[in-house]
Amino acid sequence: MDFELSEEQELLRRSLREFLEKECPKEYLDRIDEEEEFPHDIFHKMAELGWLGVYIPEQYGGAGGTMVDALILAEELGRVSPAIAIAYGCWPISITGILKQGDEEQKQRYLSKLASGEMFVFAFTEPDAGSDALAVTTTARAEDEQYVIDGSKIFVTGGGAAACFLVVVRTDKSVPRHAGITFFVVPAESEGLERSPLKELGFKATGMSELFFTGVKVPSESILGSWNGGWQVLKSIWNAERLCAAAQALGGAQGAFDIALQYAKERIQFGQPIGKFQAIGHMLADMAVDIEAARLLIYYAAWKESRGMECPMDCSIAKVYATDTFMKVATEGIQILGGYGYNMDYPMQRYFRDAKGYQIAGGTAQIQRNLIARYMGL
Amino acid sequence: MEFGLTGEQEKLRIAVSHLFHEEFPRERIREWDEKDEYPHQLYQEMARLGWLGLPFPVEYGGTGGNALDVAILLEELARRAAVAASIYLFSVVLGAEPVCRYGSEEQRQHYLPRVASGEMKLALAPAEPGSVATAVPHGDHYLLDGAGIISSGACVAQGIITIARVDQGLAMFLVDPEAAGVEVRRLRMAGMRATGAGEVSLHQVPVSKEAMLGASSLAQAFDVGRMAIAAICVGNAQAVIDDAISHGRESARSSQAIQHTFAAMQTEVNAARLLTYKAAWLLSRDKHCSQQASIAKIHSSRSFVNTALQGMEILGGRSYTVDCDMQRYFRDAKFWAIAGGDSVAQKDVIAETLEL
Repeated sequence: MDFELSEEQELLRRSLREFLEKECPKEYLDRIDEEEEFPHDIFHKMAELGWLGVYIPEQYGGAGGTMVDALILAEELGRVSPAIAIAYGCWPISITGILKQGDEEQKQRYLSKLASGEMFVFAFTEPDAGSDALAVTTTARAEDEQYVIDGSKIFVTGGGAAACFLVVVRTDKSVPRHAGITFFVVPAESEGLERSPLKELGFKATGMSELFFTGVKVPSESILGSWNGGWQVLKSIWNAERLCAAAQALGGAQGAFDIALQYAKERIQFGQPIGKFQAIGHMLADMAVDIEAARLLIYYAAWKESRGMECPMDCSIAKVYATDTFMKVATEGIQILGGYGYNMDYPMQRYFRDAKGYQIAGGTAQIQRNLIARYMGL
Repeated sequence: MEFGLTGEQEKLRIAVSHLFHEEFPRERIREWDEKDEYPHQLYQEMARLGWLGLPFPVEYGGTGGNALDVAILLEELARRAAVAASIYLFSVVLGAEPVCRYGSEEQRQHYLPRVASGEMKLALAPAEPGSVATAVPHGDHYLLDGAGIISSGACVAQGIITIARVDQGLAMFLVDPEAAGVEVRRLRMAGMRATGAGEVSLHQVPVSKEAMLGASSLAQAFDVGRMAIAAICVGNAQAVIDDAISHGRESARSSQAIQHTFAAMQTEVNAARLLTYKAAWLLSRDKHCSQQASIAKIHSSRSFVNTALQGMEILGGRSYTVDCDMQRYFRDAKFWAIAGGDSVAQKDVIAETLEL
């Protein structure tokens, strides 16, 4: 057993930390949150530094890293800004889907685009199909060697900034639900596709969007995986989706903890730093326990995933633990900062708002527990 | 990063499950608890298999295993029979490890091979708030005084490592339980029975200066102890889940709430296991790990208590009968929440490492 990251991974973490310190000062993070502005410049720079392609094999223009490398990025971004981190998560998730389900031509075509900074975003959720992912009613029909898509998607992370959507639609109603769905690669600029920004509690810089498809035509080579093979695509990305959400939430928890810790050392009340009071010290100790546990659960699952071992249960466990931890830490973080925690000029409230989103996005805590119980054979 | 076990560790795990499958069935384990009877035969069997010497260097009759090996052994022992892990912990980890770590060459040569062979057991008499022994220099020796020190395994030990206050700090002394002025009274425990728990009282016990273990700081011994307790909690909590699944599968089928309880239990225990391995890994590299050991200890013992509580409810009325193992886990779990420092003590340690 060895809990250490490799030297390259440590270097990646350090460079990323330096990069974010320089590129994401408080004023910038406040601005993109308040103005609901997608951080295009950050992603351009990350693409230039080769970080967006970290998880892409070398033959497709990436760095040939593993899931562990992608999660280091997700974690460090989450520490500074969960809103940026969740947008970053679109890369490893769509890369995974294309790598595992795409044909050679799609890999050649799309992966280099992803590495160069183009955002590909999965669109699953519909107004009436959330946790029940197979309830999708958006449809595609064949017409003149093309497909025509009609319907809508909601809560699409990064929808406002995406270059391309990976959209799941109902393609056969006459078979069991899981056997009649198909994924399509749909360019954001397609005719008949409209996107409308959604006002969210958190993730304000992420460009969360609703999509409307009205007779959107895509060529036949736009199917990801196979016709009616959408279930395989879904299954192929679940681990990546859960691990990314978990690592982002872990980073968020770490970021909130760092702020609370520093505050507890500096804030003097009753003639001493408030961290010297046992009650505050113990709140921070509890946070440290949960954060350490979340980190190990995530990297353990990522290690399994990167070795090609079966690990859906580990991914669900990591997701539910890390996201619940983030919520707890952000809540207690506000408590430690008191009035300053509740104030919009201080960053803790942003973590608090974003934390709630992670308990919902990427499979709710309740869905994860359903799955964990199923993986336990119950 | 690497989370796999070595071949040796896998073998050890299988050997443990074999031992209980072949020689010590569940009824036997239940009986030790009911009769509060120390399982001498089990202890000797662990000696014969070479496990008691696992953490000691080869030159002292051991096999030179590291903290991770010990964690894996204790976890698997506790999954099969908490009593096995406990008597191992009390004698080998809490008793003999300080001798290995802080003792003189002579002490090591005397005690360690004897502990490894099962000929001798050691026990630790810790310092607890309100009952700390004191050691006062007196000529060429110390005089030890102390009353009401709860010591796990003291009733069966041939040597008691006593933590006593010397001037400002704490030191460890090797005390012979047969010596004049030493009294070991048997304690009846709510849980973790059959482990020879005793209350140690010391009245002007003369101890030679050589019997003081050359310890400048006891921190590392405490870290090992906390990690080891965490490993036991992980193993026993997993046993709770195993039993709850085999008895509660039907009720889980029709209840989402029970399914989610199971999911929460396994989530906690998986986290506890990784935290324990992390602390053990740091110890195996001789790295400072007070924070990680306390994190592992508080998380694992809390997980065990929570899991046992849930296990009782999942099994329903059956769990409350004395013939059911679940009520033993339930009683045992609380022991580990207290032993080795309760949650307040662990949080104090963690908060201290945060340099508040």
